[in-house]
Amino acid sequence: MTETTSIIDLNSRLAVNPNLVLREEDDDCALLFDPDRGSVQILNRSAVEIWKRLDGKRSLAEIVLSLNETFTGVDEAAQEQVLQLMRSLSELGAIGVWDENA
Amino acid sequence: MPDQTYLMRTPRSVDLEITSGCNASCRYCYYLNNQGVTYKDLSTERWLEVFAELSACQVMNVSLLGGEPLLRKDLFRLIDGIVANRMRFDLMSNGSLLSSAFAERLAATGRCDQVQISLDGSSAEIHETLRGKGTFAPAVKAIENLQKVGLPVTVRVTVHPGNIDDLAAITALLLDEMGLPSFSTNEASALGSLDKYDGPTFMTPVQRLQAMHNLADLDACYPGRIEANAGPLADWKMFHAMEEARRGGLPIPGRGRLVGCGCHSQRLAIRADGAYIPCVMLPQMVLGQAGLDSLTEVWQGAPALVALRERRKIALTSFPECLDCPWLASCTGNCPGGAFTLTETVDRPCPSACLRKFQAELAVHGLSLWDEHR
Repeated sequence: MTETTSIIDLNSRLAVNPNLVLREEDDDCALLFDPDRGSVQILNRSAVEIWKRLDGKRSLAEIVLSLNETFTGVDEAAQEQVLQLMRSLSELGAIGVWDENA
Repeated sequence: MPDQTYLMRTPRSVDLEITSGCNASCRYCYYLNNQGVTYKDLSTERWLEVFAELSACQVMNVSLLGGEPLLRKDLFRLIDGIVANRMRFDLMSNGSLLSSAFAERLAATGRCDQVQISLDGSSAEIHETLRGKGTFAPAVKAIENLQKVGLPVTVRVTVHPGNIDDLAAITALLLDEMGLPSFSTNEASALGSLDKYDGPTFMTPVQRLQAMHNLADLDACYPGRIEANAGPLADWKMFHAMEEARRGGLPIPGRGRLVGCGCHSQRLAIRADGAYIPCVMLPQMVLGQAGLDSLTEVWQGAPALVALRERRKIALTSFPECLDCPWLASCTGNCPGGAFTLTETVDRPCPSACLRKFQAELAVHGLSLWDEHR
């Protein structure tokens, strides 16, 4: 897994950093806890659903499509929002690009 | 103000009494000699299994308590287990075994949030009054060792009759000489060692007022650097807020019921023998057994814990001792652990934190909390 923020696009196959803890406290949001830094990020429900789909195998485009199974009204704007979220998480070291040759 | 607090699916933090052993004999110890408590330690393997379950429940932080945690020879194996299970930790110690090598190793984990060292005096003579001979120098050395490796160190000062007049010197030692950003204060509770009742452990009302005055003055000189969740300074601030609310005719929102502690909605504790308990102040209230009972099920459904959370709904007007109290509407009833120790039930206000009772005790001596003291 590599952490290259600039090349994240809808074809990226991203995986979560296994050292982080996703703590679902209730139905509305979750905490993303980095035990090494002691930092906490708050993820909303849709971000949690995306996080759970980041298995390094599915592309972001496929993940956005799959969100229709959980949420109604997922439109084209959702793609850009997901990309922004992924870039933010990548900058935090929370996710990385899946590289089969790595 | 809603009756129920938000309940997360699992606790964020868990207090772990990793050993019941201690190499000190502090006269006011809250931990040892509680009736009905089993003092037996889990094995390394059992604790590692517990950590795995905590991790599965997404617990973020654990506090390593005792007894004296450094007495465990497998302490770093346990810490490695905490790190491997994606948690952070803090540690409470009397400092006696905290060498520079230990501090370096602790810092190298990268996961230690802070270490708390107990120090009750600015000199050996005063510190050792209730903590025992030879405990002062190692505690000071431990603080220095932690500072050298850059680990956050907090110091807890337990206020008692023997150090009331030393509080200014303790403050100067910790904040000026040693350069700590802050320290915290409390006082002895009624839990634990029974011999505390024979000697100079508890402050009289007049001494307690003097301790409040001393700490309030120091708090003014060192703003924000003397912390207190319990004890004379905490009570001083709480009592004045209650009086201000009474004079203003506007009660402090959400009070007037047994809302004195919200810990049970955020954290849990595990005794040295593996028993789940709501908190270290309620060691007799066993909720289940780590390794045998599911943490999530205990957290969400243990009857005693559910009942403890329901305590918040109990109005202070239901207690005869609270009727006609001018501060009732702004009172929290304070700590359920203290209430349990002194009244044998958590569903009562804690008598030792009662403003009206304290004022009545002071009045016998012609004193009042509201007297000018400077």
